[in-house]
Amino acid sequence: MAGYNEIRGLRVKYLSDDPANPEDGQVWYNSTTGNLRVDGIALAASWANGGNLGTARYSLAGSGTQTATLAVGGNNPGANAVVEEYDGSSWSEVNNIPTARRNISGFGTQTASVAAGGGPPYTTTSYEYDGTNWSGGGNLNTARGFASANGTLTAGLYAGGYTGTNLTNSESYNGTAWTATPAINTARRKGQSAGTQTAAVFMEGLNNTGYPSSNNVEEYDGSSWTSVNSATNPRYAGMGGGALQTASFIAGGSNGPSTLNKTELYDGTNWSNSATITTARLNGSGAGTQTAGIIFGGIGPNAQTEEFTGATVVIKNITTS
Amino acid sequence: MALFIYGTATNTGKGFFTHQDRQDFYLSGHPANVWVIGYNEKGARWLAEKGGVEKTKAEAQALVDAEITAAQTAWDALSDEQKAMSHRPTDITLP
Repeated sequence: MAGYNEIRGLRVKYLSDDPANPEDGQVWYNSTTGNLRVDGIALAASWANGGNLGTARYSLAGSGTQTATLAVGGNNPGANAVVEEYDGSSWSEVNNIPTARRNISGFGTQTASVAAGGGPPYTTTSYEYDGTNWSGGGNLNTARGFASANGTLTAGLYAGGYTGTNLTNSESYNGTAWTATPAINTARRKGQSAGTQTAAVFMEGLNNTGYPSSNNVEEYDGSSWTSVNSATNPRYAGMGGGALQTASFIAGGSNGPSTLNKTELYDGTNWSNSATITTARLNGSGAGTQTAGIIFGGIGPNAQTEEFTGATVVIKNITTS
Repeated sequence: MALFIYGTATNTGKGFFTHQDRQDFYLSGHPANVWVIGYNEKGARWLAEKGGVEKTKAEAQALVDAEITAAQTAWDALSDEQKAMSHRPTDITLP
């Protein structure tokens, strides 16, 4: 039988610590821990449970990252003003937004965030958060709720929405004022968006034809919206995010008849199915990235948080039992 | 051969189920704190460690049905405005 050094062209090294940059398939013995180790073990994507929201609710705004998340307002039922911060383990209630809002949309980080619109009653109001206090932001040009938002406090994008009918309106935010930007091609509400102000993706939603919900996807380049490859599973009220147009995710939601547990990933061109969320639900919120995402809340009202870790390659111990 | 274990357990938050758990066995959460767990040693151990109570499939389905019926009744009583903001809970058939 061929030995490891003949197959791999390397000997199993005896090391006091793991090597800094091991190659896929490299095997070594860690004399400190007493473990035979190997690099390059594929670990599938998965969702794990996070801390539960203090206030179960749906139709809330979300922003930030998996370990520094902001949950704003929502419905349970009835608009509320509750704001909670997540630190990767638990949610803590912080200063409320000035006015209770449901179907509100948010973007930015946990310490520099915007929460805008919402209703009914549909509003143009936006609020800015500095990690401690809320202050008034610029007013949207078009009052609405159920919109999709992404970007940063000083470079945000707010698209689609609803005021009794679905909208195509899109607006950008510079940290002070909102400016109308080119409309999305298909009027929708309850979609999800990701990316930056000038490289965004608008994912799915509920269009004017009603159920089944839309799997339409559009990309924005700072000048115009273009229809791109559709997602595999039509849905509205999904939960998602992504810092990049080329690396976003959407999970859960509803296709009309059924509440979904499906997750899809978008790489800027194609969609792929990924690990299912554990509790199928819709109308929660999402944040984070395609490799470290987070969803929370949902109709129930639901307090559950789930954390997504994308597929990765890791170092593992080699065991004989 | 059984494919799933059915049980109730209260979601205690962070760590209630981990990425490793999701790699090790099937897990889905449902109303009434009902969990459907892949039928293997690790799945069974997870339910026990969470202080869960094992149910038959029929018992678990009955718990889910009761919670959904209550939620549907509550939804039906909402104002039209609130209904437009929400979604009538749909029936769930456990796997």
